[in-house]
Amino acid sequence: MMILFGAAHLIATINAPRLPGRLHEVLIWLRAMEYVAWFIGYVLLVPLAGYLPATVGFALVLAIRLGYRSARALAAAAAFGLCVVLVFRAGLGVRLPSGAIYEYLPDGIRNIAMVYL
Amino acid sequence: MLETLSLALDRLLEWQVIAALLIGSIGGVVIGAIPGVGPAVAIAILLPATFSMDPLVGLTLLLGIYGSSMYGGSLPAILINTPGTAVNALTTYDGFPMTRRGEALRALGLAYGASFLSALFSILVLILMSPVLANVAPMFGAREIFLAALMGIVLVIVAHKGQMAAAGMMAGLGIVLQSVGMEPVNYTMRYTFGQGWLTSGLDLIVVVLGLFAISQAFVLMIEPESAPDAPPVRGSMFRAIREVLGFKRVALTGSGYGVLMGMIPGVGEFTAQFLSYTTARRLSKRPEDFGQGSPEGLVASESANNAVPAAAMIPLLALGIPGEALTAMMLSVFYVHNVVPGPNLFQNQLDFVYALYLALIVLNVIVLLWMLVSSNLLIHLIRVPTRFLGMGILILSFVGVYSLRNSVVDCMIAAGFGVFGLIVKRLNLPVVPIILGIVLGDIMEVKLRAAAARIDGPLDFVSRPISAILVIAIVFIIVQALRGTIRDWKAEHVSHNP
Repeated sequence: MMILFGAAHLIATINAPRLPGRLHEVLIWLRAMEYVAWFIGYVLLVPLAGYLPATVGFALVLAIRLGYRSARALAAAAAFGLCVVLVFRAGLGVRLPSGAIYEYLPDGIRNIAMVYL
Repeated sequence: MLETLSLALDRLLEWQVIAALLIGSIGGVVIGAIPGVGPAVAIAILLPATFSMDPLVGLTLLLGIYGSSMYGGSLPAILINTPGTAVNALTTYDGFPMTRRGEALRALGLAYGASFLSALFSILVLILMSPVLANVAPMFGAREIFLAALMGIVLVIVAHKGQMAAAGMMAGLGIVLQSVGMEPVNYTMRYTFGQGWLTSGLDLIVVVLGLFAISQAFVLMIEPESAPDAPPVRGSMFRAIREVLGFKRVALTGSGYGVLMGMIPGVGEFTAQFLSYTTARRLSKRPEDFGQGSPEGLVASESANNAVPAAAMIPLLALGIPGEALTAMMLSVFYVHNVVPGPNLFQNQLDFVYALYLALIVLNVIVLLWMLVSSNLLIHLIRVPTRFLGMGILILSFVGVYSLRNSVVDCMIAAGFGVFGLIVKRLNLPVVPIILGIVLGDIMEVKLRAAAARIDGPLDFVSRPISAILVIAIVFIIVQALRGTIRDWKAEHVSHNP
């Protein structure tokens, strides 16, 4: 039944009036896919690189991608990433995996990094 | 009642609750003042973090954001004609013209004062009403709660005037989304199409974060950059706030509408503001000033919206039925802590309910004190470039989604809903009915199942007084909405073909 109505709707679109600017609008929707890719990349990076390096790195890369070049803007992006990590992981103790890369840190720092960063 | 109040006060004086109040109220103002963020985004992001807190602490934090964001939202509405949160849109009508006339301080003071008065009024009404609710709520059995949830869905659809079909479809989509996964009674798989990752269903928070936060991040990052500038405000804010006492009647009428509309699920701030604004204009000695910088219009708008948060807690606490997206999110905090809102809460944990109300009073006082000194500080936040904000929201959304169960699939689903939310927002379709569809759909299913054993036919839905009233109300609302739609259609038809 769903296929039948879907097909009927598809056929009906052949005759539908073409709205000006609709293609442009669809292209805008598709532009969001780029940020989806960045986001998923970030998600995959967190368990490997750890929350702090991944977040600060993601903030910097995304800031550059969005057109920010000034040292002030990039420093603000990095500081924002750092604050988010400190507030959520160290402060609120939100459950996030510690990065695989933390294994290679020196003994003293490793435990702190695994719990708080 | 006094004994319960003192018990509630004890709970409120725990340091964690006080800290949550401070962070929630000041954070809420900050979030409200930044156009493009809004309380829904903030609450969605913070929700998973509150699951590890005591229920009262978690709820006060979220309530703080909910109750204070509108104060912050009036700042950009008045200074740069851009509402900080959606419900401050009406404030721009009179607030911004006042700024252009050089009365920015006066407009801000009136907005804060009206918000404060109406919040206090609504909380006091609720505290006085609680004993009544404690008596009425137990009359709601499974079928009554099912009908009340159904009424919430009907009302949220009807409230989207001119977009009722779209709102209905969105609510329907929400109901379908909540039914995905393994159904818990007979273990039937619904809409999983053999995909293992769909077995546990779609988590409400994943969907909410996608639709509200991630989609907003996409919107901000895709659209052209803007970093509005606002001039600093000079003068005594205290004196400006005190001026609202000259508009007591307008503020009280607005608060009254806010309380009434807030209590009805699915209606909320917009209807309250609309009614308050039109009433104030009708009763005003200078109706021609409305929309041109009328102080009365500003007070009418700001008093109506700020009376809603407290009132919206009524259906949530008394029946477990959220009336809009923010209370729908808060409902999950209750469930995580096994505090089941509903008739039992008012009977057995009235101190918890009172503690929430007292928390609302305290947070409004904190916010008012904060607003006395912070307006010029908050202006800096308005200047944060929009794309930078988008980046920030995306990073924060990750914490919300990933911390739920460390699942990459959840993040992908949330990103998918983010794109869907972007499309919906750009097409100007309503998002809120989806969330209410998910939450109320679940409640409806559970309650209908529980009531089914004692229902033999449709007449059993009207065999008890409250359920009969609810059925009549639902039919009345639908008939009225249809009549209105037909009337509008006829009027348009006649004007097009004279």
